[in-house]
Amino acid sequence: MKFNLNPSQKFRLQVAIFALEAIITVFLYLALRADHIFLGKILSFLLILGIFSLIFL
Amino acid sequence: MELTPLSWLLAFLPILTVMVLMLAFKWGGMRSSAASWIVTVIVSVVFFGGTWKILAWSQVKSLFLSFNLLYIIWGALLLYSLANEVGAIRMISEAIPHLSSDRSLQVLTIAFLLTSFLQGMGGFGVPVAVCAPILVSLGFSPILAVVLTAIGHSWAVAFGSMASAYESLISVTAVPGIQIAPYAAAFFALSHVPIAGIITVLSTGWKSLLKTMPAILTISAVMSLTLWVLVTNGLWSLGSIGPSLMGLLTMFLITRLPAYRGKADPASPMENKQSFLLTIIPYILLVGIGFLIILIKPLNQFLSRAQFSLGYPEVVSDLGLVTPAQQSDPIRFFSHPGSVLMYSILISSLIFHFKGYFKVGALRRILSRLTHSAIGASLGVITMVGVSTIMTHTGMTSLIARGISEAINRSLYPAVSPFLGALGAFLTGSNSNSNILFGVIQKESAQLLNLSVPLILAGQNAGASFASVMSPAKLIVSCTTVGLANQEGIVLRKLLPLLLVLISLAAVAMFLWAFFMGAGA
Repeated sequence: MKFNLNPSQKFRLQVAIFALEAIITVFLYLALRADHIFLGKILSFLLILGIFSLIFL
Repeated sequence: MELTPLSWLLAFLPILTVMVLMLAFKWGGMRSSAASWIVTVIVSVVFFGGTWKILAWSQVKSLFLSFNLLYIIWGALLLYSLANEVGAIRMISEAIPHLSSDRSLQVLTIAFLLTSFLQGMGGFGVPVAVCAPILVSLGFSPILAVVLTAIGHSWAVAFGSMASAYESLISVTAVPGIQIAPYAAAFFALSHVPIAGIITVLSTGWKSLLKTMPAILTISAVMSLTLWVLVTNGLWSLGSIGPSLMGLLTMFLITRLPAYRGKADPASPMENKQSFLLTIIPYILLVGIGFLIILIKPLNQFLSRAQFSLGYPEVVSDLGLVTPAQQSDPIRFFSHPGSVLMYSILISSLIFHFKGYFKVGALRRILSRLTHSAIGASLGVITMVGVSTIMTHTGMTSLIARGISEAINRSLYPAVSPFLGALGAFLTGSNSNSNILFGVIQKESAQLLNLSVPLILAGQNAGASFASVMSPAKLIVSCTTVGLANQEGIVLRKLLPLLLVLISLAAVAMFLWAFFMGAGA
């Protein structure tokens, strides 16, 4: 699927993903501290997905 | 894990991946880093006992570590974008050629001093992107313009961008910056005369070198002294800005001398000094606020009260490698170099707003310029820090270090360390990334060989600083601005031998220092 975004929209999306990454990192930290394995795995996956979406966006 | 040729090669695979993808397949730095990250995850899980917990904790640590750097990178680029929007960069660049009619001094001012100043403020390809077009407008060929400006600021990368590269070296190695500082300052101080000499010879020939040499020696002495004083007193965030500002001031005084002044250009843009000073207010504020926060200790202590750090538990790999529980380095938000940039941006934005300097669509243009440069740089940092932390947690880094220290003679290692730093910077396009990638390897190699860790880390930093300007990622940015798109290879062929001279000088200095002054840890 190819997105046709203008620079402004792309910037907003990238900033939004960056902000989401920051929030996910906080929750991942809390999940890991609480030894919540399932949540930790889900959040790790989301974190990695976010980084790769930024790279290939 | 036992050290064998195969295990060493597996541990080295993430670095090899970046090398092969960038050099053979011509991938960009960002995608190569991402591919290297995937390889690191696979190799660490399959061969080095990596668990999902190690990977997750490594990622949390790397993102926290990256925040420290990204806050500076984004701030520096935003400041540059703001200054560019109001015409500050253009005004500075137009003012400098009018100082003197001496062509050597004009070139030195732009290619050596202005590039270094811009590297101190922003970096990430900005110095060449701004200054190479000015040299072209003065009649130099585009290739020579890129070569001169790239070499000119190669020393300033290590302490540029508010010392983000140096901070990354301190963060990943946990060696206090003040211990590395004397060695780092010495290596870069030694490079000033050779760099200015190379620029003069390339631009105006050997004959003019003799005439310009007194000016070169005076400027280099002032810059080296400033660099030494600032860096050894913990002010490394001003390690590029301070010396280059002092260099510019010394150059201004030298151009007032009859021997160098020549015929002054009557059309000087400095006529409206008030407007000029107002336009460059972001940089004046940055230097002023930076100095205030660093030098006024009570203010610094007050702003440093609000700090934040994370506690990490002990993690154990499937092969039994224990990473002990630790507390992260605290982020002192209000005295952080990134915040200093933000204070300058906010105050100067208010001034520009009330003075009516912003034209319609200014915000959109500023953000557009920011996103173009910042996103790529940020992702490169995040993925390379990720690679580095996973490698450290699974013992891959220490295995590489053991291999190198067993293969290279103890007396030769100090001379090799700048080349290792250079390799990292060339591949990753950044002094910071090289320090992140090789900083721990260099530290562990130095410890295994009983060499001085700060000395070896200074060598890593010097090599990375010099080589980062010829990395493919930065060359692409540099060449685009002077119409040399897809001709990066030609520029690289010209740059490579010159920068190898500088890296070799650092290697010789490292070798002699370790040989004569003693290198014990």
